[in-house]
Amino acid sequence: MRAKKLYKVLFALIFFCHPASAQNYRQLFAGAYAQAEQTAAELRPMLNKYATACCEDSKLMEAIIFPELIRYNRLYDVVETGSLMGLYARLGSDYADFSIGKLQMKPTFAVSLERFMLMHPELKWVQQLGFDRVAVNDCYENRTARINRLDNDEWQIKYLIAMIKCLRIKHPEIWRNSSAEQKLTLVATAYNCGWDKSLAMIRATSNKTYYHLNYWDAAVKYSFAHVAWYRYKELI
Amino acid sequence: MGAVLIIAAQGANAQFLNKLKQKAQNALNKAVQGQSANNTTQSAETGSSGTATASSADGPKFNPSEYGHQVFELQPDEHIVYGEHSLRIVNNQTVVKVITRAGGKFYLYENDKRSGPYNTPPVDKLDSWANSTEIHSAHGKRTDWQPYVVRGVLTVDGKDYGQWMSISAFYHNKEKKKFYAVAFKVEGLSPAYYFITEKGTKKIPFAAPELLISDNDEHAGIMIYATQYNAKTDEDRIKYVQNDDFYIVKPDGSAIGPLAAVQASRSYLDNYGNYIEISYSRKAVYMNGKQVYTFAQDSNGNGRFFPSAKGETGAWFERGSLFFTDGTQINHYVLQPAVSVENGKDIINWLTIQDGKVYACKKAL
Repeated sequence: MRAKKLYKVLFALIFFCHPASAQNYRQLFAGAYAQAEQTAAELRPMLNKYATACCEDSKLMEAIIFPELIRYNRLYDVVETGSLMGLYARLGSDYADFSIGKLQMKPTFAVSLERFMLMHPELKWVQQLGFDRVAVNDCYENRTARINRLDNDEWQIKYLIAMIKCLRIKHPEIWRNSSAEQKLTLVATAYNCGWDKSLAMIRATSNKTYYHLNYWDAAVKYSFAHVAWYRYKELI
Repeated sequence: MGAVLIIAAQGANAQFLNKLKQKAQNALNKAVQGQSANNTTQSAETGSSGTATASSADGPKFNPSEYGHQVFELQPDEHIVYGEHSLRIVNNQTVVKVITRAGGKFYLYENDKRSGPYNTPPVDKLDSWANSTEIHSAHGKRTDWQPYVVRGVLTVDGKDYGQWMSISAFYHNKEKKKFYAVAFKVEGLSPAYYFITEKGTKKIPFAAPELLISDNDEHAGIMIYATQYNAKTDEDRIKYVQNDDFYIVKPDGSAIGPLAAVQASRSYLDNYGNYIEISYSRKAVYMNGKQVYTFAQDSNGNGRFFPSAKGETGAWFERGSLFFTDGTQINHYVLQPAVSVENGKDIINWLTIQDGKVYACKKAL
């Protein structure tokens, strides 16, 4: 029992005392950070609306999308993204599976949520968000409709809420006896690396440094969850 | 000094190789996902590569032969690696490049010439890859001006452009040896503002912190509020009014405007030097202040307007579709649109992939 407690403390120390958490991301990302704040401010009324309606934490939601807002502002290429949207609508994710919109969501991310919700049409929030009327069969019409939804800020927020709700069903442990930092870290990581991954995988990924602002790769990378936690601390 | 140069060169080389490696890995992941198309394993990543799901080719009908010609046809069991294609205009000719995969190897089509096999996707040969830069930004191009200024003197490409009190905006294209700077100094007892380029220095009414620069780097401008543009005194300049009419001031001192505020969500200078504004709230595109296109109701304005040089006609690109001002619509068949000029006519070119064939299409704007 004592050993178990000690292990937990050690785990928490290793897990959350990574040097990157001491980073000043506001200073580091400078202009891109400021632009993301502006985008976040534009999205906030809608985030609040859906968070209130679905009893979720709007600040947590804003924090976990914040690293994507930074990337979106810096790397958005309307011609390339538009080209891939057409390709996806006609030919599917074999030909194009790419990040769309301010919240940088991929079609496969949307499909995974839609399919999960299809199994839970009785849930009030599924109906509230309108996902009970979303068709998931893989055809041109449904892919076009999905692209149109993902290209819309309000629908992106609905997908975000849906991901948190689905995560609550799939991994309820995240919300049990977790500190605010642990909870946010895991939700942010799930958002970034795959909400439908195992909890062990999400935990293992949470401290990995894959996040950067360059187009392809960068010499210095950061933890997505650390950036999100930094933002959360600013918001609360 | 020599050692510094070698280290710098090694650093740049390592960065290049790192970038290439990452891009190739991404392309490889995509290609592998394509192979397992019938695998129903779901992945829900938002920020990294996802797993492909089964798909079917269907949708609107389009006859690419009506707008262009077939560049090449894929061989049996050959697939395009998604996202790895480019169309570029070189001397008003289209250059199409596409990466494919067959039998576990990769190939590059450059127009109808196929090269390979390659063990990894030859992404470094794609124009879209070559054009991408690490500071690519949707919010203005900029270069750190500090290395160019010593004791206030601005020196670019070996030429001295005088001493300045402050530089508010700077961009340098080293390949083209072009640059744009906005700077100020005190003349008499008043601040004087200047637009500086490799062509010379021009006094302007005021300064701005952000440069607008066209994709081809041939045009630049800054936005100055009308109250500042027309100010007679320094006090007038400070008492400016936002959300009012404004001017786009160019490096030669000329200006577009006054332009009315149209609640623009995005704005930029196109490759002809026109000032384009996209207003989501008004569902309209404005060119040099004049409304030139109105969005369809289901559009949210995440697109790009390609105007003709005169600005009287054009085409709106959004979600793989082109909507021409003459009413023609091409839905979901458009990849990598780019403008060229043929016999004095403005042409929009694009790629289309249909039934394993890659087409180069075009239409007059």
